[in-house]
Amino acid sequence: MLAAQIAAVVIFAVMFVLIVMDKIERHYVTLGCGALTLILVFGLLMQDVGAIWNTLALENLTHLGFWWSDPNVAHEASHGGIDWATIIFLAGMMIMVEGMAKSGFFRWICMLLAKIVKYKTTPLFIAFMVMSAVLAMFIDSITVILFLAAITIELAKLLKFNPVPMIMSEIFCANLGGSATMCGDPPNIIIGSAFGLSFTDFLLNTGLIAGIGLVLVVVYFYLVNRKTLKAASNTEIDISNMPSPASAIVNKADFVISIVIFLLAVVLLITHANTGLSVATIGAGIAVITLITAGKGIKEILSKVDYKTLLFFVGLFIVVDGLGVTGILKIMANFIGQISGGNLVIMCVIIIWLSGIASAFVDNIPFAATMVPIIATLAGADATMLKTLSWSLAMGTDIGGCATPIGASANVVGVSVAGKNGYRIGWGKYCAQSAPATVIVLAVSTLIIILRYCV
Amino acid sequence: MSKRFIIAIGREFGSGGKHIGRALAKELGVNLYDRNIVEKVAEELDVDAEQLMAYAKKKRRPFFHKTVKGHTTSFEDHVANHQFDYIRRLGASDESFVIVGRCAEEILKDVDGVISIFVKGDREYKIGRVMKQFGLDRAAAIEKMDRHDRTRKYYHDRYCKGKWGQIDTYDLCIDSTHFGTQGTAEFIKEYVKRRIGE
Repeated sequence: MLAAQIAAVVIFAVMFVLIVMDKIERHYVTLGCGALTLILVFGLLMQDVGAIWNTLALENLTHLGFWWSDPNVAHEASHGGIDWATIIFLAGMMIMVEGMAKSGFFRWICMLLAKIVKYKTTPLFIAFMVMSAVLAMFIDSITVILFLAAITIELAKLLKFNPVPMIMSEIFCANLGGSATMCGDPPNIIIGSAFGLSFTDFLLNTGLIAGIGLVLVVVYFYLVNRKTLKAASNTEIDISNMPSPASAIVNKADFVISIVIFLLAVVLLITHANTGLSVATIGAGIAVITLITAGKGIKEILSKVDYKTLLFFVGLFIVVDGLGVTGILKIMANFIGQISGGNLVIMCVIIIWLSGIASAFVDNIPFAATMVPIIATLAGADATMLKTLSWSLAMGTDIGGCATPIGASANVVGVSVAGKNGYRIGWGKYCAQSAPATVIVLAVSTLIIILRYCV
Repeated sequence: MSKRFIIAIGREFGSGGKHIGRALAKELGVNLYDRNIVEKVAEELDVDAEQLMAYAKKKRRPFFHKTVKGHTTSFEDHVANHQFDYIRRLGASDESFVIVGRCAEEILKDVDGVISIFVKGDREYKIGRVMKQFGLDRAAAIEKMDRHDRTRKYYHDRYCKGKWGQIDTYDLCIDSTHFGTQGTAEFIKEYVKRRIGE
């Protein structure tokens, strides 16, 4: 077993380093390392075909419980391996979002909001932050920032203000909004899916923290940028030159359908604890409806789905399961347990800040996937402890990534959209604004989690 | 010349490649594109040209950048790509021109009438030119020359399949030591005339 453990750790370490180096596309990295885990660790060193089969977890797809479970019966935690529920849900959301983008929904909502605040810089700054957070609760933060940053730059050119502070605040709020719900950020989907937590569970716990955090960061970003905003507010604006929200709508029928599908997804997610529908069923259902209603656009939507990210998840789950099956994650969990002396407050602080700091520099998805089995071991049969550690992990991984330009995908996309338009956001500028905000939200999260669940 | 041509010049620092390009453009009555591309890009984007210029040939720091779905945090990459887009648009026009650096020989490789040239020079000849041009002592001139060549090689090879300064990347490689900048420009002019059949 020792050889298998060493091999699993080496494969995991190599995967992490290659992801950080960013030389090879990350889905190739995780798939390659996943294949090595299956062949070398499970096949050659452990000679356990059952472990390979369990990790692939294809059998799960045939179980009724994977798609629907009786809402009156407690959900069983998953047993590792590829989390197909997360992957199917993500694929479904990707298809839905492509349909929405194609119809002009995102541009329309941004233009509408800008018009409502009469194109005034400070209200626009605050409104776009709030909208970024709200949209990211249901839609992946990459898409939210992709549209929001592009429209911010367009408006900045028309209204003659520097879009950089606004883009950085939007990025932060997209990550913060994502932490509020189960579907907002991939780590939350992984955590929720692994422990059978519902959309409402997240909303009432991480959602509450994110809501308080949002108020604080809106005030923070406003105070930090007030001079720039004030200078921009003095510029004369000719509202007649502004693009109308209606001009954003590519096709009215598609636009209405995409809004209906989006609302349906929101309702299904909010009620999934009552209906018993799993996130996999919701994702698959939303995808099917989007594709059926897309008509001839079906090919275009499918071609834009980010298959690379889905494959990245497949490989990642296999590598992390290699650590789990060989007992490495249990060793890590015992280590955290020893450091904390079994004290829940110390465990929460370690998990929030360890995952927060790590997520600022490395991909938070592999980190969350690794930590899920660790917190399951730490909590054992204590359901309350498991939930408390889950919220700690979710807030740490979701918010920690805000601190640096490479900490989360939304940051990379926002910085990239700015860069493509000639506005450089370097590490210094980014961290000077976003790192203090990250510390504020992580500190508030720590305080709320301790006061609410540990005292 | 009546036929369309594009002269894409790569060069070693101190070899006089830029001056050769300028002389060729003047002789042939066409525009010269070099650093002015960055100014044109800045004008199009309505942003500060100085900022773009500062990152036009800067080395991308490893581990500090990330790419997600084709979106990169590297401003150096954005400035480079904007320049390449501008060069592609020039290539798609019917303008004849001379272009220095910026991976032009690779960006325009499928455009008719492109002649790619690499100008090298004897090391002592280049050191002498750099010392004179920048008023540096020998050690400083060598340091400057080597640093610029490293940056040029890194930049070129990061974005191109062909290798910087290697013979199979270019149509013609020439040592400017023997003819000087003006003489080398005249030599290249004759070569270009024969290549395009005039």
